[in-house]
Amino acid sequence: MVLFPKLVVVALIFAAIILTAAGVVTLLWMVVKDIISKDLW
Amino acid sequence: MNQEETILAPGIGWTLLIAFGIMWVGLGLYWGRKSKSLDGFMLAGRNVGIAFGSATAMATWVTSNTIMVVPQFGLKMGVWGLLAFTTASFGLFLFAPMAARIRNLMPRGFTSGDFIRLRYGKVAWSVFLGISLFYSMAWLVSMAMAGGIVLEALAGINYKYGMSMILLVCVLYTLVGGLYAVIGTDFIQSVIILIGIIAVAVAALSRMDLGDAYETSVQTQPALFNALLPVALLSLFNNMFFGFGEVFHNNVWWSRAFAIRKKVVSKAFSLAGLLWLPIPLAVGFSALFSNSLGINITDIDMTGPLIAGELLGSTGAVVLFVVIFCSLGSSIDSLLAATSDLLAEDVYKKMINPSVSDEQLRKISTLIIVGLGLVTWLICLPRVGNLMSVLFFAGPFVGSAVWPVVTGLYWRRSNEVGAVLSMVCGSAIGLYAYFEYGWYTASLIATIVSMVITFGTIALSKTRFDWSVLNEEKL
Repeated sequence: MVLFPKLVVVALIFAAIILTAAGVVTLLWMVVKDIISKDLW
Repeated sequence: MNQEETILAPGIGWTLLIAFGIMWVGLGLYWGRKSKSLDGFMLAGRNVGIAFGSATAMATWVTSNTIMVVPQFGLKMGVWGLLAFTTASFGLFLFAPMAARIRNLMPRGFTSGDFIRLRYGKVAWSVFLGISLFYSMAWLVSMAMAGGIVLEALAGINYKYGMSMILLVCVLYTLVGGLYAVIGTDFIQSVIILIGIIAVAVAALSRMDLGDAYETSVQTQPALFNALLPVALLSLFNNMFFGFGEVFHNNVWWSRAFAIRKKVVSKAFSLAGLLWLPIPLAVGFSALFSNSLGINITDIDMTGPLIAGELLGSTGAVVLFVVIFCSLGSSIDSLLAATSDLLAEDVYKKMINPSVSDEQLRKISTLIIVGLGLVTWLICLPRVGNLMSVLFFAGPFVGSAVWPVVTGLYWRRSNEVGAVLSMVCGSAIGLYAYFEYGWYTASLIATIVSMVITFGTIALSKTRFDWSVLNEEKL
């Protein structure tokens, strides 16, 4: 049986969490930008 | 862990449910002040910016199924199961250019049904509406069921009461605020969902050594880490095509394409895909290690709540409760709004009463939202099947709609005969595969059958479609 190496599994999990965190920051930054430029709606 | 115990006290569960319920309805009322016209109620004025646009597309796609079914995937199919779920984001990436084209071709369009009717005619439109309405109901039911199940698992709230409460809140704020309320609350729900997922994931990591957990799990459940697990590989493609079908055909995303500002619509969907991509792994990785953590899961539907509760105690359960409530709200509201648009615009206005005024149509929409909520509630009262079976039964239907939509948007030679045959035969053969081979093949086979028929009829077609037909404003 060919297994996913430990490094790959750990890297995937950390990458997912970091990307999710980057997503929240991006969303908040964009909403501030849209509010300032009155582009929300 | 004994599954008869609940992780949260019922009082805390009810408090959270009522507090968030009041907040969503209040926000619905606040944003609903803007939805004075039919365009406002159904499409939020067609001028939604990139922040709200990308958040609503992402949040709608983070369903309670994502939070509840992903750990089941991890538990059953390991790493590939989680990776299979991430492919659902590809649908959003691919829909990005399609959304821009939809806005160009149909500047005053309302629904995905409008497109099929104008592009292929009434027979294809009827088949498409059947598929779309069936799928939307299956989705609504699977989410309302998930809501009832998770509230019962986490806080001991009776399944029927929890499910009823969630539906009631979503119906109320969609009713009072239309798409403005849906999109506005979706943004707040997106932020809460993402922060909640990060909090649970980080807390889980702080409670276990990932390296040790990997070593233990590889010894006890090596299949979960099998890089060449055939069933999981099949499920990856199945999920990907299921995702394409869901996004490409469903009015939930078409209504966003019509609602988001034309200049940013493509970017908004791309960003939504990027936001969605890591979520299955962040949500489901703990399930890979449930055995090494000594968690005994006897009810597959409760995988996620049990793991969160075992790892993080009542704090984790509160966070998970809120995240699931937000993911339920963000999807149920969108489905209620988009499906009522489909019924009001495509069925009532186009089939029953073409001379209906905008004001009357708005009233009809609100009645339909209430009706949809009631029908969903009645179907959900008896708890049937597990979440996966409800969700994936709809797979063949949506898979068969992929090619008629894609070729219809880009290819003049795509035609009604091909669209009808591909949807009917794709669905039928996909359903056969569902029962004969398993759910993990159904969407894949339906999509392939649909593709062969669509391309075959295009090759034989003499049709050269006039794109201006799609712009009803000019007609």
